[in-house]
Amino acid sequence: MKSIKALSITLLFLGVNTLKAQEGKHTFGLSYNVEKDESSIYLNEPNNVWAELQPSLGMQLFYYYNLNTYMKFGSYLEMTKAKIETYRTSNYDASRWNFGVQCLGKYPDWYVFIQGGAYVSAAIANSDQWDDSFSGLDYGIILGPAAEYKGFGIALHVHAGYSILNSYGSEPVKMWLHDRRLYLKLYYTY
Amino acid sequence: MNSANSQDKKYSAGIALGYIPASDASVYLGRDINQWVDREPSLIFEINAGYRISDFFKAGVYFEKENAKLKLVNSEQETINRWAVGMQWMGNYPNYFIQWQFGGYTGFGLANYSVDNVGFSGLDYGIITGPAYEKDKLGVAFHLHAGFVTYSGSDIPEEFSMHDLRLFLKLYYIF
Repeated sequence: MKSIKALSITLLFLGVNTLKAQEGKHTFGLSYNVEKDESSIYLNEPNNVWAELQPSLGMQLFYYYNLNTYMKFGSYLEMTKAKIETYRTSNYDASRWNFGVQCLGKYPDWYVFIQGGAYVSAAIANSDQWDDSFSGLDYGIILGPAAEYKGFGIALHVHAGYSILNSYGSEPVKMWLHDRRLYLKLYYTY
Repeated sequence: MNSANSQDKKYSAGIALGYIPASDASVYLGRDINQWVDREPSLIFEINAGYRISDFFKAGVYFEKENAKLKLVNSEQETINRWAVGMQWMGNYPNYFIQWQFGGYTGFGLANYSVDNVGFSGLDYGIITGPAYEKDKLGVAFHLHAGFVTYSGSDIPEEFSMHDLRLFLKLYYIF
């Protein structure tokens, strides 16, 4: 009797957590992200300082087209508000906009799985403290767990990336940013 | 001729030779040197193995070795020997013999600085993108790796970080 019960539970678990039908082709989602404080921004010529990034928040809207069960490809729009501090300045506000493409694979094809991917985007950063806005390229990896049920999904992702931004103002003229951000993503697939 | 790949070949194993072009101020030697150092052109070697999860996605592991040549201010050329092992994942589209691949890697690395034999360890991460051609059991890819290395150590300099672009020619066997 016990063995039948154990078998039933195992079959039920496998039934629930086994291969899902990949019906939905389109995924829309929203995410919030946070970055802890660290010296992760380099402001080059003539400042030549590592600026301290205070804990910052960002928001992202994204869309994916599901190529198949394991792989999707899409685009995103992201906005980040941050406070920056250098030894020459007190806290000041800065913002960054990103628009780019990203891909994401997953394994296994269960309700709970690990996702791995990458992103590349164009970026624009602004602050009242800078002569002009910065623009350039962001790129990095995406990694973390996710869960999906009946079209709804939730993911906890780390984005580890790098930005190379240039400005046509007088100072600073270059900004390099390496950031590791934690994202909570909610999405719907149909 | 240009049809979908067969799903019965699940594994791949390959070697890659990479070229890292010269770049200005792309290596940071932190406390207490605090210098952004130029790097000279150098080569990097990689061994990789992958498992094809689906027609469009594969994941695997890699090992790489490079001798980065640095040009310090008022100094002779110095080298940093670096080894890294980690995992990489890659999507491809379309599922033809000629395809575009896009993915990422993250790994753990060890480095040794030729001046005073200083050691570092830390994290590597970056993206991979480029075209590939697969026919029967053989594949060839031309990939750009754009990544970041962030290492730390207990001696001076205590920090070593590097951002670089690497061009790889990869040959792999699919079975």
